[in-house]
Amino acid sequence: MEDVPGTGSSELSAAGVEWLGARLQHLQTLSAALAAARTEAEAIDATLDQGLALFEADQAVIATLDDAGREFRIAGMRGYSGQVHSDWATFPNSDDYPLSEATRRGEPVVVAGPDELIRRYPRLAGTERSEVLVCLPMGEFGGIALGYDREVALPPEELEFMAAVARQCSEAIRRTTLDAERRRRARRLGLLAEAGAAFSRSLDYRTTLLEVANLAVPGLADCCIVDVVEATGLRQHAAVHVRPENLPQVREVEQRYAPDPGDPRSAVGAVLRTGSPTLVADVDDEFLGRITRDAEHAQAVRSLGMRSLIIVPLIARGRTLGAITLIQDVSGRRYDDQDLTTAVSLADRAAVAIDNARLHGAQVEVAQVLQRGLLPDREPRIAGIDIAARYLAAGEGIDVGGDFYDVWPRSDHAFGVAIGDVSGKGARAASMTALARHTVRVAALHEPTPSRVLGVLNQEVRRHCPPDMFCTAAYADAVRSEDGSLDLTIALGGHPPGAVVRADGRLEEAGRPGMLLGVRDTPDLTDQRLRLAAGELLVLWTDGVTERRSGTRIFGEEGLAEVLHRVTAGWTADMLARELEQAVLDFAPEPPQDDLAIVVIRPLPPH
Amino acid sequence: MTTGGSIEVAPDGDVAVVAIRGEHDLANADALRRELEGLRKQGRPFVVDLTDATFIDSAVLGVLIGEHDRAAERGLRAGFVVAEGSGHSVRKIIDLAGVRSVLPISDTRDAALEAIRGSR
Repeated sequence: MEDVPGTGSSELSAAGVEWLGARLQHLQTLSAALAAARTEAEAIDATLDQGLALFEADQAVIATLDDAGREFRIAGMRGYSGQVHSDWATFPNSDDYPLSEATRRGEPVVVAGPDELIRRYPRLAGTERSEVLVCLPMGEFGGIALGYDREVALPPEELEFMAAVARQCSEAIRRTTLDAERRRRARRLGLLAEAGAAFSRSLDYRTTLLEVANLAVPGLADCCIVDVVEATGLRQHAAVHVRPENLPQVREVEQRYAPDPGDPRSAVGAVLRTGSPTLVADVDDEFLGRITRDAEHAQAVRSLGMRSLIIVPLIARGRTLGAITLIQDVSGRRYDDQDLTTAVSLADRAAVAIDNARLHGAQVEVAQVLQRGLLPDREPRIAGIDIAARYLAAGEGIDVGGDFYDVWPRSDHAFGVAIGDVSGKGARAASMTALARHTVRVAALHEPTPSRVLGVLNQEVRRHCPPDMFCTAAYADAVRSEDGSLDLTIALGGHPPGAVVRADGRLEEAGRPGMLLGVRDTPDLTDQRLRLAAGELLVLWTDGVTERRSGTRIFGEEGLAEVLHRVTAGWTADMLARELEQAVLDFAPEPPQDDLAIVVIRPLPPH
Repeated sequence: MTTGGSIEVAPDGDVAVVAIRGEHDLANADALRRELEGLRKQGRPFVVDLTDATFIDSAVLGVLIGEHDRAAERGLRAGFVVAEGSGHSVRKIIDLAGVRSVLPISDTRDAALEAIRGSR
């Protein structure tokens, strides 16, 4: 400072006026910058840049005091070399350091001249030094030190002014911290609300896990990993990073040093074992040393640049399903207890959602097993007959279908074939298909003709099912002759006739239309006899085949005939069944909306 | 599922004519059932006109049969129209189900209305 106001003269010189004007300008700029600051970083930058200009200093550094008041950490600096930054990254809060002293005393501390500096603060020997050092307290936040490379005189009023400005800056920084905290709180609540909505959207287990990770990033973490405990061990089900290009490295480390929850060192393992969350606010070498196996492992993990870490367990209904790992790396953000609370809340919601999804998945499996129980145990085998069946349940998951088929031996040389379609979906339809299969098998034991067998089924449907529940069925009784041919008697109850593919390629209908079952007490049902020579094929299907639609087109009998016309002498039952199924599937881009069942019978020539 | 199906109800005297157009399957079978149920509860005889229906599946057929039977229980007459012009699959499903002896089916709307009125 060239001229210091208030030093004595009662009048300001022209230079003095100019100087004062400049100072007011800087003060205004500083105030505006502080008011505009939205984050702590912005407020600190404003303080440093404008403070340097305002006080015409050459260096400035702001250091913050940790919560325990034990240590200072540099929050920003100007005019110092990078060496200073790393040398002074942290320093203890003790009077051995001028900034510490200023903060403790709540008063400015001035050190003029390198000799005085060494004398009063021997610890600063060997460090880059300014000619004059002014340390100003910044309330609870910490302090700011200004360095001058020239001699300056700082009378008490000037120091008071500087201290006042420093206090104003610390207030601004505190405000931004509160604002940021408020925003974080709102974001946390928003995150949890979003979580609720997101988790209810999908009942697919894997989708839900990915939703968890996507929700957490970047709102709560730079990187989120979800691990799930499965029968074979811990499996990583989702990994999301705010910078997707960082993921391969994360994965590589995870793969090379696969987390072993049984390993006492494993941080995730500890969380899984204890069921307690972990907050590592500062990932330091000590922590890395504890959780890694060797120096190489530690280096690999260190290279990921984790700054702060939270691991929370996923626990639902008393069972630990896995863990969510939240990492701050690129943003350099530091986790606190509030973040841990949020993470635990998120994990609670996620665990319930995952559990529900798994339950649903289990239910789907049960339903599918049920469904398969409605079908013959294994590919039915009848001596001398080539049999193939295709079955596709259309409903998603627990919407078990109403189509059924059955093939079973009735004696050495006779067997029964049944196929049908119960109206509707769900458990009711499924249980009715079980009834239908059972009824037909039992009735076939004592009823002389297929029409009588279907008559029995009709009775059962009338008796046991709601009035608007109906069932179609086709039943054929087949007897094998010595020459390998098959004598069939077939009856249809509301079911489409089957198709016979003759040796010469001609197509014929098998069965005459009869009444839908369950409608009337005495349905109109007819028996038809036909003979199948060895190598000829009988095809039975449900309307999921013929009623497959694509836009306004319908697969229909034409589609069926088209496939049947392609059959040649060498075709096996399995080939035809698969061809037909594929043709139905290929007919439209979307998956079938209705169940379909296909049964193909081909008597084999005797050896 | 359904690319386009509509249900239109218009009175013809005291009989409600329920015109089914386009495609109807499991997805909208329930809407049809509710419509017919409503008419039954009002005590109105109805005619289901499938002349302009292009497709119906077993679920819809089940509704038609069920609602016909329920109406009959209440002493209400119900009729059906399946014309030459009705979708091929509509006629087919009715034939396959063998329900022509169960449901009173006529070729034209007039014939169906006459059948309902004539038998009183």
